Amino acid sequence: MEIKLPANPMTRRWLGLAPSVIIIFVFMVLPILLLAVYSFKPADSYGGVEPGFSLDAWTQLFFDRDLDDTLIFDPVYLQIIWRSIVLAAIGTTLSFLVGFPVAWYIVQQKKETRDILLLLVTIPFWTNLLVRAYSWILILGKNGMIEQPLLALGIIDDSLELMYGNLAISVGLVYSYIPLMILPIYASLEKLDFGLIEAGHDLYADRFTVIRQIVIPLCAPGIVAGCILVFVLSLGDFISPSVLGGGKKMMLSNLIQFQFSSARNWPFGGALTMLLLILVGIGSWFYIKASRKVEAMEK
Amino acid sequence: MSEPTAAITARDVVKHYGGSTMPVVALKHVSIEIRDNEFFTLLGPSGCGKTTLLRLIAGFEQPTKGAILLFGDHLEGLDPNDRPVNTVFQSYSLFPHMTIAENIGFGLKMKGESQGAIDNVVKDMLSLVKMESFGDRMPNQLSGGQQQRIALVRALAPKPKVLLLDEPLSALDLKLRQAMRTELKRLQKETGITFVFVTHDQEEAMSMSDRVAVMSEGELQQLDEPRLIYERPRNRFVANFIGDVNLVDATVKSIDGENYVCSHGKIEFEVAKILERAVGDKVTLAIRPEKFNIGNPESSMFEGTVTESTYMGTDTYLDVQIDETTNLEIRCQNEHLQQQLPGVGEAVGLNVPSGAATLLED
Repeated sequence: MEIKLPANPMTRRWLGLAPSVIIIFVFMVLPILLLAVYSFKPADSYGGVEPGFSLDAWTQLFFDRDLDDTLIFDPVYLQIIWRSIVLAAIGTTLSFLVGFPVAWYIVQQKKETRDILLLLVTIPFWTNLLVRAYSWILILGKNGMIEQPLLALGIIDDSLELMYGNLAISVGLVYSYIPLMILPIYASLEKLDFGLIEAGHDLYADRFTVIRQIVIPLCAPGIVAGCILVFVLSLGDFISPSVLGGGKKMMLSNLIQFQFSSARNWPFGGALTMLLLILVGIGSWFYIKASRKVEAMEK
Repeated sequence: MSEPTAAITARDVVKHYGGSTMPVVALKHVSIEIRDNEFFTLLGPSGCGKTTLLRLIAGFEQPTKGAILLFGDHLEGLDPNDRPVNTVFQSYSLFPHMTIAENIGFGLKMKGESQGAIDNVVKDMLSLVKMESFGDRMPNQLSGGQQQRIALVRALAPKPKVLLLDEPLSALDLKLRQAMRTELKRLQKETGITFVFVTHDQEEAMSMSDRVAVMSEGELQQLDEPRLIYERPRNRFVANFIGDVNLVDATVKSIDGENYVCSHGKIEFEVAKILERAVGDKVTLAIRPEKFNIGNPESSMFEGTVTESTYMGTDTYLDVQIDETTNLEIRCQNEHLQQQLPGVGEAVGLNVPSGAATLLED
């Protein structure tokens, strides 16, 4: 049997792309659109939605409805959103401060050593996210690997309370996502012309100045990519806050999960999801802008 | 104190690369003095150690043994940014994210000069290479030759005590390269800064340098003025590397005042007594192809048979067999159309003026 392909090249192109377009649309775009629609519907008491239109979910982000139906400004959700942004930003900053020197070190090694080191960097990805988070309890927890020797040596006499707080969450975020910081930075450092570093040293710049004024500006796309990846994933992370934060410090994703499970408020969950999407979108926009600037320069 | 302090003194410098088990020797005991305010060239084939020596002076590498001094001061342990020496890189290495003005001003900014002072120097530097209007452009908007000039003045801007140039002309096309030679020489004279120029191109070395150091396999072969390098090559390597040469085996026959009389068969050459040799010693003589005068076989010092003749425009190259084992390459200037040069198979008389042949060490 002969299959006749359409003569128009445009139609042919779309026909070839059709399977992927359908999969992306059905499994990614459609659910997101559905959530967007749900966020504008009134919630019913059983976790579903009622027909009609309502801005309740969106007003709930900022206001609490009093008994007499007046809206009172309630920052509780904004606080959670703000905490998510701050924790994700701290996690991203720490990842950069640790990840950049690591990438810098790796790129200066011999080819074979580099490959091994890069493989080692990806090790955290080999195990389940949850298991990784639990392993940090053993390190940071009461009588954990940090506290025990300090207690035994008498340097401290009480628990440091390292667990279940912002510190533990930040550590969890850094540990989970640092490979995503190191790899893009490494990729851009690898392309860097090391003659420029020598030129910088030759023109009286010390090591630190060369990194700040030559390496970092030229590796901006890699650095921004790493930061966006870590920031976005940290913002959406719910394992670190629930396992290492003990659920006491909620982040946006915990709140979203809560709306779809125990709280059974799908419209509010949808609104929160849309908000997260907007925040991520803003971050990505900055990335595209920054990388275009560098591309134009290198042409 | 009579001798002025040398700009650069390399004392017995040795450089090994790689581990101690299988070291690659880049420099073996090199000692060189580079004078203040001279255009000094390190010339040699790739892998001869010339670039290594330059990188040792710049501070990108540390010598395995020996010392390098800048105007009498030891450079040991100083990082490149602590040495008052700047480099012009082969690939220019302009900072792509900075304007031309920022590139030129970078060294001064790092030295902590005020913005006003930097602006003045940048202006001077741009006019030095006649590119006054280029300050606001980005490096990628410049042609190769323009980038080359900017790389040059970027290195000159901080007024280094010595300027190092690492094959800076190799990426340019021929015309541009020739123009840049004149320009480099002019810049060296105008600024009065000592230039240390690395190249594998003998023409570049000959045309620009006050003195040339010929290097091979990590060793200094000869250090002299261009004229002496050409006319009095010290050994076979230098004689072969610079220009074309005929190497003739001969025996010292007698000593005549300041000259040796050396014989090759029946042919006798008078050479200057630049080396101590005794009568009967075997020696090698170097004679440049253009030194021969051709004449009648009867009235000349010796004769040979033309085996090949190639017309080259300004010259004609003749290949002349003078005995069973020896052929000489001879270059005759084409003077006018009526000039009659011997053809292939014909006999030709050859004369070698006194002093045209020179004695080699090996």
